[in-house]
Amino acid sequence: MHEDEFRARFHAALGDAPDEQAAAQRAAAALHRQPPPEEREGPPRAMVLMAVAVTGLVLVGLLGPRLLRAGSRATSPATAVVPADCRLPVVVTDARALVPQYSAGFVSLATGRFVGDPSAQGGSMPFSRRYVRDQWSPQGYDPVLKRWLPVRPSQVSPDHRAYVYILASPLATGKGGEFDSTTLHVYDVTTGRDHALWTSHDQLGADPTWRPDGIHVQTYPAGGGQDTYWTIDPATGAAARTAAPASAAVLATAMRTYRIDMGVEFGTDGAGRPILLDAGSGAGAPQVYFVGGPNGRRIVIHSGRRGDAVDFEVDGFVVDGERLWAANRDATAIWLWSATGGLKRFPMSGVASFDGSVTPRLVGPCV
Amino acid sequence: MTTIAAAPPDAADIGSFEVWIEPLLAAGYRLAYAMLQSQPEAEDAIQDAALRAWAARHRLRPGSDPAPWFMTIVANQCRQQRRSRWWSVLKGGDVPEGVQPPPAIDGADLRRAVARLPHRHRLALVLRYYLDLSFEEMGRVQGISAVAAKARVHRALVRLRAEVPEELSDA
Repeated sequence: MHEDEFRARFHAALGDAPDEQAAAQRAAAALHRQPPPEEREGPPRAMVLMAVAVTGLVLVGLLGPRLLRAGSRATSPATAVVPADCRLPVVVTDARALVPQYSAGFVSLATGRFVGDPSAQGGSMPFSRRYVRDQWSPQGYDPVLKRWLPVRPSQVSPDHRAYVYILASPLATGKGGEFDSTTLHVYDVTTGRDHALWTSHDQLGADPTWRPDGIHVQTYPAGGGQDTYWTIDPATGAAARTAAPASAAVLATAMRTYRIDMGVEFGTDGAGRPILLDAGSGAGAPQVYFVGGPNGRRIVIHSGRRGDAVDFEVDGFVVDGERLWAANRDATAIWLWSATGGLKRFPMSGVASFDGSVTPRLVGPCV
Repeated sequence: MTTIAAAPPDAADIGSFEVWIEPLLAAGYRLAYAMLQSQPEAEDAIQDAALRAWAARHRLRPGSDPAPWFMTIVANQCRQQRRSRWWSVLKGGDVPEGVQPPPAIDGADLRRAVARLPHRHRLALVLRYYLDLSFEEMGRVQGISAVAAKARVHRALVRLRAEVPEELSDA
C-alpha cells in the first residue's frame, strides 16, 4: 500500500475531530476560568503555582544603565526616600473579552487611587508589529516626554527623544509561518520622523533595549541555533556582535546555586542584576523573589508563600533608580523595594480585578 | 504544522497569551482527538494543555517555534489521560524495523488497533499520518531526531501489523 493511501485510510479510520473551532474556542476560554491551585487536580501543583507566578514574565522598566556597579550594596538613603506625592503609570489589561482591552492611567501613591488617563491614545505613533492583527496599546509612560508610548521604557533612547520598535515582514496572520525578516525602526517622537535602521533575517528573541552605547538586540536563527547578541549604532545602523550580557551569567549561577527548578526572570534591576523568582517545587513551597548578586549571592526582595498574610503577588518590576516598584496582580497593593529600605506596601484601589481577569502593570517610574 | 509568531507574548496577561496561542489550539485539538478518540476527553486534554502551556511559557525560549512545543504538551496530556485506561493492554517486546505501510483494513479494526498501541507508537502514527507532519517536525514534537522519528514510525507500523495480523496478511 502506498503511503498516501495508508494516510487516507488512517485518517478515515480515526475520523475528523468534531466541532474543531468550537473546541478551540472553549480551550481558549478555559484559560480565563483557571481556578486557584487548591481546586485543581490536573496539572501538578507546582506547575499551577508557576502559572500564577508567571503572569508577568516580561519586564518593564529598564531606564538604561544606572550608576550602581554590579554587586555594590551601597545605596544612597536619599535616593531611596519614598516620594509620597508621586504617581505611578499603570496599564490595566482587561482579558475578559476574547481580545484583551488596555487602558492606562496613574495610581497616586498618596491615596492609592487609580485614575484613568484619557490621553493614553496612540495617535500616529508607530508600534512593534508581528501579527496583522496587532494594534496600538500603551506599553510605557515616559517621564521626560510626559507621554504614553506604545513601547516599553527600555526601548526609549537615553535622551528620551526617540524609541526603537520592530516590524516583522511579512506580518503573520497566525495561519502559517510567513516569517522572512525583522526590521528595527527608530521613531523620533519630537519630529515624527521614522526610519528603518537594521534588518535581520533571524528572529528577534526579545524587545530591543536602547542603552547609551547603542541598541541591544538578541537574535536566533529562524530554524534554530545559537543566540547572537548585537549592538546597533542608532545613528548609522552599523551592527556589532557582542558578548552575552553579564546578567546572563549571574542568572545561570543563581539557578545552579539555589537549584531553581521553577523560576522566572523579571529582567534586571538598575544595576543590571537579574530579578528572579524561585517558585519552589511542591505544595506550600516558599516563593522567593530576589536580585541575583555575584557568586550566587541572593538579595531577597520577598520570601513567602502564596496566599500568606503578606500577599505579595506581583508579575513584574519597574526600575526607578535604585528602587523597584511592583503591583499586586489583584490590584490591591503597590510595592516599593530598595536594598536599604526593604519592602513597603501601599494600598491600591480603583481597579476591579474580576477574579484575576483584569490586571495592572506598572509601566514607568513614579512621576 | 501550524506556526505562529515565534516570540512569546510580550504582555503580562493571560488574555494576550490566549490571543497568541489561539492559532495552535485547533491543531492541538486534532492531535488530542486522534490520540484519545473521544471528543469530551480531547476537549479536556486541550483545555488542560492550554493551561499547562500558559504555566510553562517561560520555558519556551524566545525565537523558538512554539508549535512543536505546544504539541508536545498536548501529547503529554493525552498520555496522562490514557495511562490508566490503556496500561493493561500495552504489550512489550521489540519488533523488527523496515516494513511498508500496512494494506487496507477495516476502519474500525484499524482504529481499535491504533488505540491499543503504546503511546509513543500511536503518537508517531498520528503525527505522521493524521497531522501530516514531516519527520523533522515530528522529531521536534517528540524530542528526537528526524531519523529517530522515521524509525519510530516504522516500528509503529510493525506494531500495528502485529495488532491486526489477519487484516495485514498481504502486507
